[in-house]
Amino acid sequence: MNEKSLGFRPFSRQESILKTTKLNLADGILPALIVLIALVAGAIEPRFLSVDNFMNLARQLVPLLIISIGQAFTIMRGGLDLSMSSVLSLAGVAGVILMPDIGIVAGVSAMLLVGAIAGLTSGAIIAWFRTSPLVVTLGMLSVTQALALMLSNGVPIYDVPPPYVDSIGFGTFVGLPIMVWIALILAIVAALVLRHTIFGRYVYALGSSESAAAKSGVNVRLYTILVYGVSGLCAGIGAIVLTAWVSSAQPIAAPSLTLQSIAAVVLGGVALTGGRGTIWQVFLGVLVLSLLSNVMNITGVSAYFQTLIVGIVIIIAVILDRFRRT
Amino acid sequence: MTNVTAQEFQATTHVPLRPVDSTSAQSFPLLRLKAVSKSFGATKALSDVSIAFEAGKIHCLLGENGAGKSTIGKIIGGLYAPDIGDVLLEGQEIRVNSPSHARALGIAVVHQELSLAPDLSVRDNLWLGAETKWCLSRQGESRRAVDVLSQLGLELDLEKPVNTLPVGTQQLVEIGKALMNAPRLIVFDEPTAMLGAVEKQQLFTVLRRLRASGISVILVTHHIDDVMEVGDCVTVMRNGRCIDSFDLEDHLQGADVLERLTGQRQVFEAAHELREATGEILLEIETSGADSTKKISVRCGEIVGLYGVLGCGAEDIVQGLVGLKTFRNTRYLLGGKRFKPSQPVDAMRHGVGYLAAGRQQNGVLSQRSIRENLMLTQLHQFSVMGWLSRTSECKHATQQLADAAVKYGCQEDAIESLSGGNQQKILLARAMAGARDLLVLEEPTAGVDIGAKQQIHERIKAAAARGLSVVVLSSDLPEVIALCDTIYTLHQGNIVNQYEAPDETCQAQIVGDVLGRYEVQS
Repeated sequence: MNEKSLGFRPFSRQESILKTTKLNLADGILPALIVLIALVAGAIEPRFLSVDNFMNLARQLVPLLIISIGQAFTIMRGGLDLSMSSVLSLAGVAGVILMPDIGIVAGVSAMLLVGAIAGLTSGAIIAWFRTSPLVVTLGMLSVTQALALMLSNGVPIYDVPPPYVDSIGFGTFVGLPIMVWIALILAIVAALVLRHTIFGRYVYALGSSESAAAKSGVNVRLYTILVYGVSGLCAGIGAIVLTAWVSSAQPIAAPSLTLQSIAAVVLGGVALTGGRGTIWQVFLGVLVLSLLSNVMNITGVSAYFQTLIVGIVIIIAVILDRFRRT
Repeated sequence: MTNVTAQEFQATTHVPLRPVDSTSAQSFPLLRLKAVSKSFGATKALSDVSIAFEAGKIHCLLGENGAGKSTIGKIIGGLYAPDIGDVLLEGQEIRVNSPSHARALGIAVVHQELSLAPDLSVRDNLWLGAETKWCLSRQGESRRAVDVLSQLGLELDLEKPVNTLPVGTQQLVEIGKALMNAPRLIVFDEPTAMLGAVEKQQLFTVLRRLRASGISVILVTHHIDDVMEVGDCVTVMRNGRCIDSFDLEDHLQGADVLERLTGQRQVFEAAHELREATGEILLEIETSGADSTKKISVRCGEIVGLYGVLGCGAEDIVQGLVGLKTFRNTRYLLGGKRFKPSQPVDAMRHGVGYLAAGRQQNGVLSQRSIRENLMLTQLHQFSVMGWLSRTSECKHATQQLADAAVKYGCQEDAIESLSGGNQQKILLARAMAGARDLLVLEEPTAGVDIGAKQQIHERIKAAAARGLSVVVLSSDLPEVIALCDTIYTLHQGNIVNQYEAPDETCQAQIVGDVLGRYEVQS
């Protein structure tokens, strides 16, 4: 043992008590919590345990999961992306407007492209001017929101090709909705990228210490831009799923999704300071939030009260996160 | 800049003497540790340590990293409680619960890292840690601040933000903070680690002043030179035990102390063989100063050292070389071609590896594993289209860790679980992996123990013997002399002198160069 790792920490005695009861959200508490919520919900309302409701839950969870995966990349990199839901709105509006003219496949590609470009732009500004991701993505939130409103003249666009809605929004494949497959495949790809590619390794490295990574020869600018490209791309994928599901493109679609995604990522136990975390943790965080809202819907808890509960859960999660990192 | 503070020092000769407390009973030492043990989990940091600290002395705790000397400082300062054993203050058993309790008992601790608020003024910083009464007039605050600074022999503009002061002076302000509560005993935890030669001398002057005013000093250090310079007595520690404790009499030499420290008589690092610098010139650095243009040239297989006090410009030369800064008056020629990297990754593409100073901030990825830290910039070798091959990566990591003589449990352990010396070996290995032609090292052995230091030196020399050129920036003069084939001294942005195959006899002249008392060689 060396002196450095003991470090200088006041109140180290109190900390050592916490250390012995090491809390790890992803490894134990969250899965237990999920089972507990499910059991309690099933006892109160048997409808909760029906296959129909589980399918419903799976669908409800998809947009948040997709956005949270993108958000997780930026948080693990040591930043965050506040513009995700408005980038999603812009991508959705742009894609749906183009779809009747250029076809479904091209329209879908347009959504991905718009999302990626918005993300890469934020990333480039953050990387080149070394500005705070908080402020840059906040600005991008406003810019993309305005563009979405301008493109759509402020009204939802309902002119969505039916085959698109039927396939992506409501189609199934091997018993699971297509949109669930999309989220599942995205999650698996993201997990593999983080674990097995140079890009993933650099995401963690930059989040752990940007200065150390830069000085040992990591291309900070390139990989920072790519990280925000990923979050933008995820917003684009979110747009595909959401427009197909609600069969329309809303200029202000799901504005609470960005904050929920940050909450889910933190709830899962990904360190807000960056450098650590897995897609599995993100998934668990998303599952808890979605499960809570599903259960409260089904048991008829009022919307105001739901918001309150979710807020409390998030705050508790952050406190637990502090304990975990002692 | 250092000259200014040195002058400030000499300008104030008047020291307000604090009367030595005559009531402190002669029979009791000021502070005594009796059979103290402390464990962290399975690690025994201290076992059965007894030390007596006499009043009015500078008592050094000397040992390698992990010897337990800092733990003693933290027990005295109230950060840790001993598992067993007693702490006696003037014969009275005390239990120091917290740093503020320690302060109330008249014990202050000056930690290695500065705890100053950079944007606040000197006065505000001094009052930050002080026990304040409800309200104090600005004049009252200033008067006390001036008192404390004069105790240190400092005259500063109290309204100046501390980040505008040189680092050495900042450290003195930090000491001033400790003095605000009029302590009887001050513990210094590795105070010289961050300081260059001149700043060190300033600090030692202050330590002597404090002793003269009746304050007892405990100096925690791993530098024998520090001990020889200011110590009255020394306790040598190894593996959590006190090995030896003795007064420093004049006839004792550094080698004698080292002998007691390691248990064997050591020759200071073997004088390096003179290698003929016949290799081709790989790198040329031209700096155009105010009056003339000077050139540094680095041959293949040559180790070149840059030495100077903080702010001498050596740092700038190195940072320009790896693309962290650009300067109009410095030109680099690498292999005969103009070299102007935009960032370290760019420098690495040209075969320049870089080890930055400041292991915690600029080196380790603290949340990541040993393997990930080591392989960070060599991943391209183990990947196809960005996809990593874990097996081949692990194999290379095992090999490199063995080559670097790193002591570790498992590659997947957090790098933070290693000692400073082993972390540094990993960072060096990482830098060397990226160094095809040139290796740039900043403070390669800062904060590592003697054993690791020698291993790191051997690694660097072996790399040079294979033809790698090395540029070393270090504030540790014996290290520069032992390691380098050629030393360039710098002062205020200018290259002063060049020493081929330096040895101990150059030391005086080199120190003279960097302090500014030089005659330019033609």
